[in-house]
Amino acid sequence: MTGAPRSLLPKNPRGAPGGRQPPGRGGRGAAAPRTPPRTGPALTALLSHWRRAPLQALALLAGLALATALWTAVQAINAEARAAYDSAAALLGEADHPQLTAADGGPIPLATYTALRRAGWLVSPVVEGRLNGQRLVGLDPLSAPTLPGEGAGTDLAAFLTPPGQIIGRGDSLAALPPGVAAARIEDPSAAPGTLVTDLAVAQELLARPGQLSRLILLPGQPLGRPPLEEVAPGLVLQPASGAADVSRLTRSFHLNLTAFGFLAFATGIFIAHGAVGLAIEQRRGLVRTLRALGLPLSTILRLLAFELLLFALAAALLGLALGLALAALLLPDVSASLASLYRAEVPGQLSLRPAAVAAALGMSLIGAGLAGGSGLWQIARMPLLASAGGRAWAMRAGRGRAIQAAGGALLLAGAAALTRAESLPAAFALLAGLLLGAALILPAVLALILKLGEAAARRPLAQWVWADSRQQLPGLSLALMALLLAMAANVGVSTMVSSFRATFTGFLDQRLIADLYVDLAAPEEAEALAGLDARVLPLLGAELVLRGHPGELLGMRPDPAYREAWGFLDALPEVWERLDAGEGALVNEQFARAEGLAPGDALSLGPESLPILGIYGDYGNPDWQVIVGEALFRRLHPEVQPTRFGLIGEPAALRPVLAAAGIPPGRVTDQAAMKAAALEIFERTFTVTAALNAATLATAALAMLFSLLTMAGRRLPQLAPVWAMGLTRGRLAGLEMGRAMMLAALTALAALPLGLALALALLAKVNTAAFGWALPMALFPWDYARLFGLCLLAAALAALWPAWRLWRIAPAELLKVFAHER
Amino acid sequence: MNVKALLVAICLASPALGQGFAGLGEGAEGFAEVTPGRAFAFPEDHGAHPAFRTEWWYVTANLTGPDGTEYGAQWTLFRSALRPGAEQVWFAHAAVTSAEDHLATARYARGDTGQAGVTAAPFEAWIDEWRMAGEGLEAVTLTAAGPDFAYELALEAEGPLVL
Repeated sequence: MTGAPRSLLPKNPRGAPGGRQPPGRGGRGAAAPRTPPRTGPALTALLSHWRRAPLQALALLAGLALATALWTAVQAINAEARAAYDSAAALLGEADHPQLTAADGGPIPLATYTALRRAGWLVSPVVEGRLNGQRLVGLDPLSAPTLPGEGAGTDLAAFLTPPGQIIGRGDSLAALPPGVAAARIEDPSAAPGTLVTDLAVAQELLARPGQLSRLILLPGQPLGRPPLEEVAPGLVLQPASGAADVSRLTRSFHLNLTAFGFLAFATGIFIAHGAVGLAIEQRRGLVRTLRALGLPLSTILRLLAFELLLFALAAALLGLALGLALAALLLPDVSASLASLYRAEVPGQLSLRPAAVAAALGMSLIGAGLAGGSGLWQIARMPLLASAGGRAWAMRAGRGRAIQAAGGALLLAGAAALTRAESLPAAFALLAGLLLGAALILPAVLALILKLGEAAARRPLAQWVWADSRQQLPGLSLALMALLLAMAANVGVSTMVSSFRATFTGFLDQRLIADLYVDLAAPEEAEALAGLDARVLPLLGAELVLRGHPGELLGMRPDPAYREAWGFLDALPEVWERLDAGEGALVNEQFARAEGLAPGDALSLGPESLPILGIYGDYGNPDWQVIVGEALFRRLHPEVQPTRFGLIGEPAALRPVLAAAGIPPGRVTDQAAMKAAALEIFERTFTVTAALNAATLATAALAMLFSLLTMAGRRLPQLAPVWAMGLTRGRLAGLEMGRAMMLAALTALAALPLGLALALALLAKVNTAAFGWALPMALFPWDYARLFGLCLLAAALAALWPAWRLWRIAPAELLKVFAHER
Repeated sequence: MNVKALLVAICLASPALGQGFAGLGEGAEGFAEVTPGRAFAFPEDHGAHPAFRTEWWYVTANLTGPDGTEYGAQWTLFRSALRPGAEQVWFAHAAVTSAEDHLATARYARGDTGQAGVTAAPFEAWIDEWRMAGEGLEAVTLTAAGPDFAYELALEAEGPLVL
């Protein structure tokens, strides 16, 4: 029908291509015969539709605003986090400059700094510590590569002169003890959780006179420097971490968020698309009348585009407000997750960035274009006297579907080819290919199933239901694709989270084996632990560089508790005996994977070369780690005096003894409390994901609702004959409901394997690429059953209203189909 | 805040010495003032005078290379006190010039790290590895280095001190 002969189109009476009307022509309205209506009244006529269908206007606005809002929220969160990493990394010079640190991980005497400077090594001193939960950084403004508080009202003289100045965000400054004399300079652009002050002030506040934490190696070193070992033998050079370690680690987190933002945007666009489609469909008559009155098609298209623009602008504003509100709501959880997972500090508050406003506007316009484009195309192609050709439409869709399915198959093949690649971008490309490919192939698969169903059907009614479902498929396929993606994301993410949780709890049991943990103020206090009725496990640790990568060495005291709790991913026989005897070392999975290590390989630790006895899982740790027996550790690092101890014994009995020995209760931690805190942090990590997930499922249901509404009007010509043959409206409505739920069920079934593939890709690929460890995947059938139920419920809710409308439709409306031949 | 801008402001932006050096005229309470008729005592007065706000040690030299090429060298160490007798900021400038080239570099240091300072006997004025040092001022070695140049000069006084 689309190929209607052009001769049917009316010629513009004046032959003017733009159809713009000379002023002063025409009467007060559109009624004057033989005179084309003016643009103003035509716009009023087009807009009047929304007055009659306020719900549709709401749907369009909601779809666009929701898409914009979710996108804006995710972008705002990401931008905030990135700005925070940048300010932290730039401030501390970690990203761009190599550092000198003490080989033993201890403090560096000021005299070493002076000796280096006087030998021609241009270094800048930094002292760093924690004060009331804030990271306090003392630096020397005369040599530091970058200075804090640019433009925040600091000046060098005041910074250097007692009592000095402390620069930071308002909330960080508020955490300072009241007795601190230094002036507090608020700088909203400062790194969150970080306070910066002069070296001398920081040394005093941290009670570390004459001590430095590290030295920043500055660019532009002079000629003729002696080697480092001659000047400062105890120091080691750490290369610049480059582009902030933190941002590399958190990249996968942000990519996850962005992916969800896109998914949410897509589902929002499905809603808007449904609403625009409905509005166009319902205004076909109006458009026909306007054109018959002589209004050129181009003017109508311009007016419709203008109308869409109005909606887009309104939606952008609404979406921006909603998105920022959502981001503000989620940000504390995001920042808590990032802080606990990666030690990356992100502020809990949001600041409005101009880029966010521009992005919201842009996304809303893009969304409106995507949602309205096909509607406008339909109007443009619509023959003047066209009727709703349902059958023709279905045939046309069938051809498109084959092309679409071929594209989907290609994407799936591409994803399959990527399963061997190991980089993070490849892992995400795999995910994208998997999801998009599956979504594109879905309509073809559903059409096939419906065709099979039709072939198997015996009774005429059943045959009609199957055939009619197939005819309905093109109009519903976008919504069903949205549902597939939402459902698959839910299955995939819930599998990942549950697998992660199961592994993580096991890991915590392995790691937190002692009943009490004690922090000592000084190593000398350890004597107080000697007489306790408990097994004492010193927690020995030293930082070290493992093959050029920051890492740590732990010393483990031989104790049966370790043997009971610890499991290995891979180990040699008699691993514990040999570890205790100092005949080998354990390495964490991150290290083993990155360096391709296997049990039996040799590892050099200082002067020793030891075989690797086993590889253990070390979840959530960005660093490489090596464990040796206590005796060997003390031989390698005789200077390390442990100040943390685990106690295995009866907590209730131990606490009073510890208190009597002068160790305040604040420095004694219960294993159970520690485990609960760790788990709580972990749960918060996924709150954000879960929230976005629920949003996508809800939006998919909305998309389905609007698709069904769009089709309801178009479907009357198909339903009326069946009704006329004796099927009641109630029965028809029931069939409509059943059909929607059947399609949803088929989609949900297809989503299950897709979701599991998604989870597998997330766990085995993305995790390994991003963090260096893989997670064992577990299946959770009960969760899937619940999700399936939710999906059906969403479909039922979406179909309820259209079905109800069909049930209550006036028989006269159905009769009109025959009377008007619509 | 920008160190270099501030220091340039301190050193160079003074409209006239009479109004105080680089705005140092304002809020100078507590600093010793330069008054006529002061009797100098050496070698003590070759050293630093922390009671005064600012002072500097300065060498310019015209040099001739073995092949007859002419060079210029310059070395300056400034001391600037933030409070009388207390926090000191040191900065230094060194340069070498030839007919074609001018190579220069600067250093900054705080006073409380021992990174820079001046002692009178034996005489040494230093910042980082740059030094002007000798038993007295009759014979001193002068060193400075930057990323693209370095020099070590032996200087000998041929006449009496000029005040």
